[in-house]
Amino acid sequence: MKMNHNFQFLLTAFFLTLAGCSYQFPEVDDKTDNFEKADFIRFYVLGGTFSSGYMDGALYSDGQKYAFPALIGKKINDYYSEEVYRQFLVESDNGFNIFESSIDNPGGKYRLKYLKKDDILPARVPVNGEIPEGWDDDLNGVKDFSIPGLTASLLQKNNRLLDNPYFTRLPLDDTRALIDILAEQQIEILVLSLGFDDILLPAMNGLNTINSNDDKGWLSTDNFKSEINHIINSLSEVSMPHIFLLNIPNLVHSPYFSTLDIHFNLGVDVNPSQVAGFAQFYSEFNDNVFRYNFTENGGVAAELRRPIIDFDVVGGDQFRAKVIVDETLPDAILNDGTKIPKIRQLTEGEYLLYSADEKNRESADFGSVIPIEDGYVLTKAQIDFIENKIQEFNSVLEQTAQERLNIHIIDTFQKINEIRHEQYTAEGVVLNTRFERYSIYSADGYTLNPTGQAVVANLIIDSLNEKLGTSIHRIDVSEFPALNIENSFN
Amino acid sequence: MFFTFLIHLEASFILIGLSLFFLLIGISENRFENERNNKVKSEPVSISGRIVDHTTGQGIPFVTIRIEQNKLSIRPENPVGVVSGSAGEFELKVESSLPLTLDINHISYQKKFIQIEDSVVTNLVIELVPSVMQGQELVVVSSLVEREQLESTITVERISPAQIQQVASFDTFDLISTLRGVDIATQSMNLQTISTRGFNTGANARFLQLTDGVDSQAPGLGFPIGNLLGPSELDIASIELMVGPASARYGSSAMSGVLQTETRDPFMDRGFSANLKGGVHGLKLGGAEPLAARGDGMYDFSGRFAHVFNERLAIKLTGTWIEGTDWRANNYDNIGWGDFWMQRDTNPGYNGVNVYGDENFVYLPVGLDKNDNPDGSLVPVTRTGYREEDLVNYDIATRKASAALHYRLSETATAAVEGRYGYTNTLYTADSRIRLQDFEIFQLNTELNINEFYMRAYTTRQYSGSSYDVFYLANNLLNEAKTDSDWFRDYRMVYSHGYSLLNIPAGDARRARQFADSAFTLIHNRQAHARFEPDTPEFEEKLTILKSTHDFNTGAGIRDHSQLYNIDSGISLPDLVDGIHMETGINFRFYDLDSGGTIFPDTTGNHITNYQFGGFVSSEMSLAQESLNLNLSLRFDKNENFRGSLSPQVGIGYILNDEHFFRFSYQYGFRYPTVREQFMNQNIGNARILGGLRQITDQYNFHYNSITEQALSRYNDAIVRDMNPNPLIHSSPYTIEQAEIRNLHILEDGIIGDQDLTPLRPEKNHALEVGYRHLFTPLLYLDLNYYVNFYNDFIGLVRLVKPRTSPVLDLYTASGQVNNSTESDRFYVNSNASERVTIHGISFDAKYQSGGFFAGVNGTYTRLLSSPDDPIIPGFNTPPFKLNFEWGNREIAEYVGFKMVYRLRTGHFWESPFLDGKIDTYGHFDFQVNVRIPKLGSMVKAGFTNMGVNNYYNVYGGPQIGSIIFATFTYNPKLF
Repeated sequence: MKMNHNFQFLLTAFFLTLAGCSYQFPEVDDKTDNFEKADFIRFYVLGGTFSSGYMDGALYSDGQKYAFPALIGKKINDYYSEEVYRQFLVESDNGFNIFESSIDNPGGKYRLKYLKKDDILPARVPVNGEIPEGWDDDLNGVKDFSIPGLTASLLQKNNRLLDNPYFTRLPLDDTRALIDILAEQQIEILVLSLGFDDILLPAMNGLNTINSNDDKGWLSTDNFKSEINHIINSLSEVSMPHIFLLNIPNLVHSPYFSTLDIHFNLGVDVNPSQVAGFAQFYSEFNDNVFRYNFTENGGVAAELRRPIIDFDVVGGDQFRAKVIVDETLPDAILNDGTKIPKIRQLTEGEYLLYSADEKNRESADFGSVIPIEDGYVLTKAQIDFIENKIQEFNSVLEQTAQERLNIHIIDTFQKINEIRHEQYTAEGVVLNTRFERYSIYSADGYTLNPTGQAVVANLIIDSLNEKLGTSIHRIDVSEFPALNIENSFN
Repeated sequence: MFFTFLIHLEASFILIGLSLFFLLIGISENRFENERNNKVKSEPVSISGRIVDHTTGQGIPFVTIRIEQNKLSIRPENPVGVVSGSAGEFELKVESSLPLTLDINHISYQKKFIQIEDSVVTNLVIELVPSVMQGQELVVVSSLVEREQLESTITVERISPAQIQQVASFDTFDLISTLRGVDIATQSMNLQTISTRGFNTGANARFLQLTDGVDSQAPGLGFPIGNLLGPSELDIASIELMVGPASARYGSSAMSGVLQTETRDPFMDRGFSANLKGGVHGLKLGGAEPLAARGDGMYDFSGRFAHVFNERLAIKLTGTWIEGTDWRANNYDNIGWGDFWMQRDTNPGYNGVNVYGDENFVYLPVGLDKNDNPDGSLVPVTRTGYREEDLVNYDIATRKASAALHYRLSETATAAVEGRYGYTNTLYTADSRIRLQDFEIFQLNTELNINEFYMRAYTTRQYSGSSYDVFYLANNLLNEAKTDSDWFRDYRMVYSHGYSLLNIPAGDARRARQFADSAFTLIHNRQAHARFEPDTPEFEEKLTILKSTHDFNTGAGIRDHSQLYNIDSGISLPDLVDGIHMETGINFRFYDLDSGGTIFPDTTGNHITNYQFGGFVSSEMSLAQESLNLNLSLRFDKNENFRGSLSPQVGIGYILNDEHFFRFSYQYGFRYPTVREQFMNQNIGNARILGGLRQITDQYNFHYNSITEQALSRYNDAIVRDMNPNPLIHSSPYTIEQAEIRNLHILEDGIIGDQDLTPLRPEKNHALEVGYRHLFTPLLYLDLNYYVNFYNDFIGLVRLVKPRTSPVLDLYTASGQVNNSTESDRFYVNSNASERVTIHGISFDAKYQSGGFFAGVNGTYTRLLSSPDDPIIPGFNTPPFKLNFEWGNREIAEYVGFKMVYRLRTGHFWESPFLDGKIDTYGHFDFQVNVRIPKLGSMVKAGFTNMGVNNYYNVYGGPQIGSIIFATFTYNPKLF
């Protein structure tokens, strides 16, 4: 009897052990976003190129889905389990590249490619594109009114007057202004990105019609302020939305502006005999400059003197700097009536734009015996002008935010500047603003790639969480494509 | 409710064991009385005498004299008896009925039975005849090998107590490494682990180590812990090594071999014995005094006491106390960028073998041209690591104690309870370099033997004490000063631009490192601390904090209080079927892991357990007039996380003319992944090791997000080729970016897809072996064998790199991240090989013995055949050829003996999660001379190990093994 009890005890312990062996693995941490502190069904976006998902020189489907508003919009849709956020999708694989298109041959997005083995930098090579087709879907539910090329001033113009293929494809009432259409919506949260296109478009062309003392043709700072106030007032008439206002990043630090060397690279672009040839080519020009500056008529004042063009085989980079046309140089005419051309060599701190890359590759004459036109160059004065303009516009936006409690600044200027100085790390990856791996810029060199879009999306998410009390998880920036470069040879 | 049960499980288990013990004692009272009443009444019996060699008349030590009980018991150490002393003398006192039969047994002599009819017998002289084999025309007499061993269908090696006495090493465990086919991983002076048939490692899960049938693995480590818990050499009765798969009999962990150690029975081996050893290594002569010498010392004191209180109760107490200074792991060769001889001062990418914290790297443009001018080429810059000797204490200690209570329930039944305790300070090298500090392990075993039946229940529990991971210690020490990302950025910025405030010019790698190591930082709003320098109070204070912090994010402490519970039972059935000897048994094992999240993902509220059970039946029969032996076994096992599996085994032995012994065996075996291979989730500094269960791996999303290290290696090689084309081809070089882009397809091929990294499955093995044994003369014995093992689903580590950006999403970006440790993570994932892994080998063992003289030579040649495309790293880690040669004389003069050993291991490549590298060929001599002092019942032995040979290592990254001079004093009046 005693044994039986003990045996039963043993058996019980044995089967209890078996029954107890049911290990359950823990659930993975829940990363669900919580938008409940505000009504994100009434979340809207208004902006231009910067917020539209325009990248690689075009607006195309894959780029649009990575636009920072779309990244937040996806989270909103996931939260509400329905498509409460929509964009004006282009449904185009390669998009339409305005700068690489002709009537018969529309260009598409750029791809960066090394064209030959000894290339230091990749070339922007456009693929075939498609002219944007009309958007005939239902407008209902469209929350993202980001249209490439939309400047602040265009918002108030009659839509009929706008000559923008991305705008004209939309089924909007062409008798009204876009801002009026938007003002009728019950907006609760608005992400507003304006001013980027007002700076970008003239800067891309090398500011060739403007010099440092003349901002004719540019939206003045006062007008920008007026436009912004008008837009905000219009949007606030029906409701008092929370407006998250993106300031303007410093465009001139993007790779389109700051990548190409201002000088020839000895052994790569030119050989020593070519450099000697350039020096010979400008010997007469330099003689004339010397005569003008110092000998004829006793010379001229220092501020009126013209620089010589100095190519020297044994000199450094500055002695192989490329030659540009600079209309801001003072007129210089010799006693014999010879008019000294307004040309000079680029100097450190000036930019040769990426639009010059193709001509650069074609011949070493470009920038040597053939001076580079102003449209391919940003001089120091022009750079200062653009940077001042950005600073002024951003001050306007900052001031606007300070005056209204419902307006919050998203500081893209600071964030991208931080990245430029390699002070921003995404999961250990140091992002940059160059035409390199880990860049936040796309192949066009001035708009953000998906990685950059994710960085901006996180800025907005941080601000939404702070200002509205939402609990939205940040996006893992490293999960997005960055800049892609290919070889066009094997 | 469930967790309450688990918490009390251990107590319950101990109670089960103890209640089993006392229950049986209770049962035995009645049974024993009944037996007494049913039989002729017992009376005190006293028998004394001497066992002598029939041919020489000399006394034979170590002869077992016991009262005959079960000829075919599967637990042969059950009976009552004694062992003869050094001169063959013995004295046996029992309570028994008369007449009784004495069973006289010795490995080298024919078994003998003597009937005793008187209650007092003195001066009994028993002559034993050396083992005899009757051939048709030849009578072969041998003291080298038993008949049973000749007929065995497996490869088996045995070590007798006499061989243990003659060991020519400080550590008795070293003797095992001289057996055929054995590889040793020396991880520390007091920790060696054994492997057979390849896949040597510091943590061999394919090898089973039993002491009296009890598994000696540490439950949380999942592998046998060598000599940390084993018996003292004074308590070893025999050691038997089964080389090759034995999983059909012993279960899934006996895939490549089993080491069985039997301890001495307290009923038979009584009294007190002790052993004191002292040794010195790293001896350096000279110095300040002309005759001065300096070295690291160690000593080992062991004792054993056994006492029988009456015919039914015996106790055994053993203890071992070892202290000393360990070998040092001080290999500072560079395994990073550049040549192996380049050190930190000349190489920004230096990564020393035993320097830790310098594994992480970032490619930076700090390369130099042929004239040592900066050329902007990318170099994998590493942080300034710490040498192991700055991080660990090389003092070692092993303290072992055991207490056993044996109770005779009847003449044919015994119950026993035994507790074992082990404490150690040591270093081991498995997945990482681990300092076991105040590590403890407990084992409680209860066992019942009744006739042919046995039942055993035991539990093993480990306490990690103050153990810590040396890799982590270094890495977190560096991160305490400055995080990796900040350090690399500071380095890059100062190298690229200089730092005028401190007059650091651009392009000065040495000063950029100094800046990065300093308390300065260029990161806004960051606090930094200068690198903690060894031998400073700050350094020591930080070490103390990190070692005691059990969170690898901020510390290095290891917590592992895992335990295992095992119940097994078996019965031998010699008469169930006529002519067939059958055995059957079952076992159940339960693991209760407890690492507090430091090794397993068993964080609070996330308790991990695992169980497995199995059973076997085996039969043995002789056919064709006993010239053909047939051995069949079948085993079934089931693990909680894997399906049940059957493993059959067949062994055939054929005896030709009663002198040529052929054998063939086939086994289909399998191995369940160990708890580590299933559940592990541990960061080891340069990588994270993961168990292969989907629940562990799925959270890391490897599929389509990670790349194999093999593909990365091929990719890097291709880039180097493209950048440095063969001059004969007259091809211009590619820039690094172009070369990277050009070879992206290599990385693409290495992306883990759906067909890769499938859920972990048990490892399967088809093992075939043929062998031949022959006694040429009674003095010369030869054993040859050939084996081939085909592994399917071989379990190994797949090494993966997971970049921050998915390679499927953006391969170009990912390709930049895979070579930077701050931009990607490395994982070693336990997984199955996709292709077959094959090992095969041939070995021989020849022995010669004449009088006291003995000589032996054995050798093994083995190779691994595996596909280089398989992402599994098999870690074969086995010398292609190994040779052991020994010779000596147990009695070269009166009371004087000696032994010399030479070991040779050819060079091979070592692969492990810790480090990969080449192990050079090495060979070394060991020598000992001993003198017995019968008056004192003692023996004195002195010798050296690895004399006159350069230091070597048998684990890459492990300690450098040098020479030891040692002396031993053994007191054992029964033997000497």
